[in-house]
Amino acid sequence: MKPPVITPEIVQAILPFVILALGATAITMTGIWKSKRGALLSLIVLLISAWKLGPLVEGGPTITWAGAIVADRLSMLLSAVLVCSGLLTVLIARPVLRRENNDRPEFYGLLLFSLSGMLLIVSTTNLLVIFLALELLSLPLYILCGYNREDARGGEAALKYFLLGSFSSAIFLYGTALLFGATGTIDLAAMVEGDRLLSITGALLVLSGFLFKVGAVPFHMWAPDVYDGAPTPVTSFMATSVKVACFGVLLRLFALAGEAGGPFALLMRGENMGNVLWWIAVLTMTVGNISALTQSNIKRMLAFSSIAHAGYIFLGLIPGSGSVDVRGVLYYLIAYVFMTTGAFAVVAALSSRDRGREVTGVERYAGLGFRRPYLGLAMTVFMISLAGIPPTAGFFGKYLLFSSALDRGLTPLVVIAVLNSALSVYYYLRPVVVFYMRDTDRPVQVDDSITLKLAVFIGVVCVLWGGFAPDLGSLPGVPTILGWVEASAAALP
Amino acid sequence: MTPESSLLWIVLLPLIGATVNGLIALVAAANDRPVPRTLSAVIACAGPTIAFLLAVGVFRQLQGMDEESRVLVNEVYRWIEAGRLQINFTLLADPLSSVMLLVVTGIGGLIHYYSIGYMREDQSHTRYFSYLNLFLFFMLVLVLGDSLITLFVGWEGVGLCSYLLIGFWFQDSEKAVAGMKAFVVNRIGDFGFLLGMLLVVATLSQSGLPTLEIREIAHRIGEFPPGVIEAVGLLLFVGAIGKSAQIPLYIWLPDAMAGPTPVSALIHAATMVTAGVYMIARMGFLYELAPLASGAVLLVGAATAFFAATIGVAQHDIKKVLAYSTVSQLGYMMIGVGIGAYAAGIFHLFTHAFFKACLFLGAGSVIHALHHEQDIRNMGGLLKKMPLTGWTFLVSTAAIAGFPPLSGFFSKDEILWLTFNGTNEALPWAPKLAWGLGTAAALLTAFYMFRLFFTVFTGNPRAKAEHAHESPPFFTVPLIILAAGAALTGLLGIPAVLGGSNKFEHWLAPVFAGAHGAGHGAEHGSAHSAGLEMGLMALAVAIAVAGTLLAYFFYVKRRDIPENFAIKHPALYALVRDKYYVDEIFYAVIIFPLVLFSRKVLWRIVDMKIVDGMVNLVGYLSRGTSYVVRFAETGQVQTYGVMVLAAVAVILWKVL
Amino acid sequence: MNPYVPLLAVLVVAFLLPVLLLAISSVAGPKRDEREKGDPYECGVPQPDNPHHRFPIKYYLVAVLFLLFDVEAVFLYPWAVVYRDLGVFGLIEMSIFLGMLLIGLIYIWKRGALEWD
Repeated sequence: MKPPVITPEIVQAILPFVILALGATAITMTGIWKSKRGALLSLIVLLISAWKLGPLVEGGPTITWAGAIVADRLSMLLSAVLVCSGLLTVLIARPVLRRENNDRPEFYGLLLFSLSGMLLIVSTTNLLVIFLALELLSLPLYILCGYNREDARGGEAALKYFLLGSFSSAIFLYGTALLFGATGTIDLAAMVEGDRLLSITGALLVLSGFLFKVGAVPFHMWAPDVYDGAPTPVTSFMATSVKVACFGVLLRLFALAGEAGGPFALLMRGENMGNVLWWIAVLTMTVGNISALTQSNIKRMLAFSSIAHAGYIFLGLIPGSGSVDVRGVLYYLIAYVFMTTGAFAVVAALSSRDRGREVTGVERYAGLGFRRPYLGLAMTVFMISLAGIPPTAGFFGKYLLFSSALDRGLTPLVVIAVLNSALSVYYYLRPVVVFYMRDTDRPVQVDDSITLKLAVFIGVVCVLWGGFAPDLGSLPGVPTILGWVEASAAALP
Repeated sequence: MTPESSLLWIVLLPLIGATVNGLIALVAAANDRPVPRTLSAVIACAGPTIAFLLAVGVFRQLQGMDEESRVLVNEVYRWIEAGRLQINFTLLADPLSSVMLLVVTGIGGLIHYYSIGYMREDQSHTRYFSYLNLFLFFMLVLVLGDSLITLFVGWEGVGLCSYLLIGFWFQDSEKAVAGMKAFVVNRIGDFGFLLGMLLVVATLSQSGLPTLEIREIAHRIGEFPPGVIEAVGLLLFVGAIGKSAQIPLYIWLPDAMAGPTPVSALIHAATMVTAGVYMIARMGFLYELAPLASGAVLLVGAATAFFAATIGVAQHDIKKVLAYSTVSQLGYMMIGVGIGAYAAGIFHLFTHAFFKACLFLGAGSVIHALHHEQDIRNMGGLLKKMPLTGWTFLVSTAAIAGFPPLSGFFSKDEILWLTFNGTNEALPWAPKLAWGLGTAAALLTAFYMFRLFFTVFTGNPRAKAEHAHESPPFFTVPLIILAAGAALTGLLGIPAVLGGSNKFEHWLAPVFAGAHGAGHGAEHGSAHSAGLEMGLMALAVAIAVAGTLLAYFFYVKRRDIPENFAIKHPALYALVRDKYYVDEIFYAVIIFPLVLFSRKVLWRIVDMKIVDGMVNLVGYLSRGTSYVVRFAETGQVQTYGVMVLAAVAVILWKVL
Repeated sequence: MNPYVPLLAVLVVAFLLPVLLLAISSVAGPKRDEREKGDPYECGVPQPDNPHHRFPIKYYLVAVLFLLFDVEAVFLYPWAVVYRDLGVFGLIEMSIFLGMLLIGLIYIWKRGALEWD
């Protein structure tokens, strides 16, 4: 047997992933002498990884390595978004862990391990590598959910997530086996349409594994419990990065289905799958929104809202009379990462622990708008963006998704989505109302650490940048998010 | 959006609003939280507002079409297929339904806005809006339905919503009973409607494929024997008697005033109660061939117009006065469609919607300002304290009394003139009698309406009235818009004799093209009748002025006279005040024997033996269901896992 | 003949034989119910107390670590079989694999996971 040749281009393409994995190992090892520099080290690792990633995002040929590694503009853009999300998470996590007297390097090590899994999962078409990456991204998350050992709910969340996550991994693996049986290969790009029953069942099971991870209804039931129980920085990481990674894989699956044929093409060709996805989209956004409507705990509210946002993103994945809307989904994912992480950063700044339990009720925000005008303003920007009101990235993302869906003849779905986002305005604006309309005598406890402020600042800048300048084009040399997104979309077959 | 699909959206938007608000109310109740008021108000108002804009679009679309082909059809789906009978759920807009569309969505929308203010402090605010939107949905189905059965769905639906809203404050048992009464009385009428429908199907199936599509029935009207046409007409009219509160089934409408006042304005004045008139106009081609049924409509309408007006004279509750006035005005509309002047009947329906809605909302404004005081003897002098409410009320009062050039003058006069000039083959004496009763009722109308106005708004403030203040803009803006409508809509129907072109009748003409009844004959009347028409018009004005002056004399100048009259003739006064004891007669003749039967037979045997057994069965069943539901909601990992597996299985099953 | 038929025959026999034996003993054997017969079987020694205890977490830790290094050994076997064919490349790959496990071992050792008290 001849081992595949490793060329310098391949080394360059997998270097960001390798840096993260090695960095994660090294940072974990510093736990031996109980180092307090985990955050700093992980920031350095992330920045090196981003530095190596930078030139790849700007362009370059598509590199494949025996199907196991596919480095094209799509995977590089998603990797860049994931690294950004990781950076923000570290910025949020450090002050939270410090004030809870729980700052251990293992936290950052696990975070980077999970992130390296995400980088891997978006740059492959090989089902076994996908499985490997899925486990690599999930296992550290299970531990991170229960990171705070005094918090019983965190432990519960970790166990629930672990059991159900393993369950979904098993479903995914079963699908992989069936696809292998039907087609004789595990490289998605090389698959042909095999036996109809085996192919469709296999493709569907693989799909279900990812539906679980992104929290699509009816696979969503774990999400509120887990998001609520996990420490806030972890929740933020799970709600954003995992979704980016898994929607990235879904994009690749659906785009391949549109081009190369194979089991997913077979699956999508039937009329019923379109209907099933239609219903999943409708249910996901509606259940998420209606559940969020009655939450007075802002963390739970954001957890449900993240389910709803997954529903909007599904709009872009339904082919309708055209093909999958890669551009809209990518843009929405980017917007979603910054607005959600930003909102969670504010939540982290305002949360505290009471006998091990995290307190994040909306009443803590009373009068914030006057006492902490900048923080209040930032949260308002995030809420407006999440609600999809211009001039924010969230609005533009919805606009892209909805208008493209209309072009593809999905009018009723768009009507439902618009009604849903109208409904969501209510609960997103409620915290804003509390900021500005209600006051309290209680002193507002706000975490003033510089990294949190930085995270919030980055979030605000990106949300407004994405809203004001999604596609200016008039400023030569200034890159626009949409420009990147379109280049990446073009890279797909 | 095509005009056809906008028809569907007009109907669907209120339904969506009702569903969303219903869910919100449920979720809020389940979590024991206060309802989100602003949100539900916004959702509730969005439906009618957008629907109104779409309705305007539909109207414009129809205007742009050829006069003969002004029809928009949207076949939504095939609904029922039973043997040879196939029923499509189809929405149809023609000039007639487009007018109704504008009334229902426009005035409905205004009343939604008004409700925001009126119901602001109510606990069940969201539930209220949910019902109100649901009502609009059913009303729109009623108006747009192209077959008798679709119309009937809307017909039953609005009845249901009316029941829910009358009994809205069901904690008060009297109000709950009022809701029940409305429902039960309406069911009697609906039974007639249902029989009429069955008769149509049975007749048509003898000569071909049975159908309930109205255009198809019109097309095949020749297949009906004359006697059957009369029977169908009478049976359908029984339904209209119930819904439009005619003698003898009018008794539910005054009690329906137990509901919130905006509901009285929307359902029990402007829209739902006019459904009967609308239905008869829609079936005009049939009544044209049924002189006996038409005569019945004419006489019942005339009797109701007069009879209800006499009761209105002696009521003290501000809403009851308006309720009897509504019954009376519905009588006028029935006279119009009974004589075959369908356009005139619909025209009165149209103008009545404006001034009566305005009157009710004005009454609501007064009641709100006086903290739920409804007795007019405790009011007075409010014109100074609530000028906007007072002046809009005055405009509408003048309109209903028939002062030119306000809307009520033109529409009422049109009906009376066409009745005077009309004929009825089966009952030749009926038109003149109806005209006499109608004219007498006009005098009474002017009298009791101005009695109401003078007692409430002029003189010295009594009781709580001293501390009243003008209502906020949520109240007054709809009032102003409606008062403007009450003043100006009459100009759409200026008769030829006054140099107008009667745009309204012209617009409806294609719909009633098959019905060459009194309406058309009179419109092109000879020269000598023009003089007669002018004379009758002058008489109508004189009557309005006379009624007003009488009211002024009795209730402003010489308050002692009516009081003395009541003292001197206690029996007569009591007879009128107590509504001729009609409710009591109903009770003695129908309800008491029924109750007896129910106590002795139904309760002892049917209920205790049979029904209780069923109820216990239901109990066992629901215990089982709750077990299943609890199983699904545990928050336990095992359950979640099973759900995931089940979801995969369902999707797999769907796709393969 | 299909080569799997004898295998099927073995399966059938393997299934039928115990069923037959159990059936015979249940039909022919004498039955006497006593309290001791309901107890769990512990090599004839009377049961000291209820076995449903909470175990110290350390057992679990040891079990997991054992599993980890056990799987490592399982991976070593196939490599050992074909290590001549894989040559230097295989050696490097296996060294990386073992190196990672070694790092893990150092970590757990230093963090005290292997100390019982």
